[in-house]
Amino acid sequence: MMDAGYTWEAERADGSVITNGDDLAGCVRFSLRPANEKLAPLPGHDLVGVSMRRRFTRCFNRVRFGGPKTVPGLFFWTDGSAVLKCDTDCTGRIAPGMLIGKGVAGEGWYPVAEVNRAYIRLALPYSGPTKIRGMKAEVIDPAMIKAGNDRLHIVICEGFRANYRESDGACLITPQNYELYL
Amino acid sequence: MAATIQIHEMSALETGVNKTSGTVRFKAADNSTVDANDPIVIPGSGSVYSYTKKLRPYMEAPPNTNISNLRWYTDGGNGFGTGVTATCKNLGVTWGANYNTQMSGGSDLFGKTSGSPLDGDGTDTGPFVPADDNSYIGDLIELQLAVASTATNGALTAETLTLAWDEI
Repeated sequence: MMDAGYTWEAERADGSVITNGDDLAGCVRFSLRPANEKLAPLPGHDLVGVSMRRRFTRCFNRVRFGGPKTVPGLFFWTDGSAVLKCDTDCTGRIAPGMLIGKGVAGEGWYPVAEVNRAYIRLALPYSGPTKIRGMKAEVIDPAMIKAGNDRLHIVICEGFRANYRESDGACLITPQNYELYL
Repeated sequence: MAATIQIHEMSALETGVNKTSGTVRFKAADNSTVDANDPIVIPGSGSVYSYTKKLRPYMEAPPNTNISNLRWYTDGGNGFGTGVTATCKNLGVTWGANYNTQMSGGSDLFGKTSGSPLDGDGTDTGPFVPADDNSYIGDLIELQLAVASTATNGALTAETLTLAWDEI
């Protein structure tokens, strides 16, 4: 799960500050501040001049499924080389921009720069044991690599909700009872 | 402090591996290893089924107060192409071995959207509190991939399953 991007606090009319719980009744200010400005250049937010009710955080964790596709054939992985030889014509199965790997847990993925009938040229030299990886390799869409976890800091006020997205600091105002999901 | 909730791929009711931001690999074998072994082979006719997968949330770090409203959903669009479908169901807290015959009582995983999600705490209801730290919370969900004879070769579009919850 991503590290917290924001810390929050709310100030009551008597000047006391709360940083726990969900009850914002009687609060005159709600603030979000970046937890670590060096790591995440997020904007700060202050909500004032509205009638607040409660706050909570809505969190989103994601897992991928599907994507890796087996490509049959004999693949010749050479340590330090960006040329991946294969014994079959992969032009119909692999395209530049895909990521290719040996299909072994813990091994890395390499961007494909060029594909022709005799070999695949990687955008980066392969680093690992020189070996023939028999009968298969794997390719995936690069979009799979994105983590995509996120949080919304939600403040319910009289007549509306303020939803603050932790990954980029954006704020979206929605109706008071609208349940926003990412 | 914000809670850390992981998505675990389960091998028993209280045993699993962390797959948050990782990959759940459907295959023709019952293991959680992400490799090229045991692919699901396109049949000449009819459909074949992957071994089922079971997921459950794990509280790795506690919330300040509590966690509630666990739910699972997709983007509502099956990008796998012709002949590849995914089904799901909520198992509560009842464990059973994974299997590779057709799931009964399941529904389309891509029919589970943020507006109509798969309930994640219908049996183990919560709310989940700091005392639940380092334990599994919520319900088991079960997933399965089906590959029909109409499926085609080529790279599958990656799909994402989201676990959402509310935290105080």
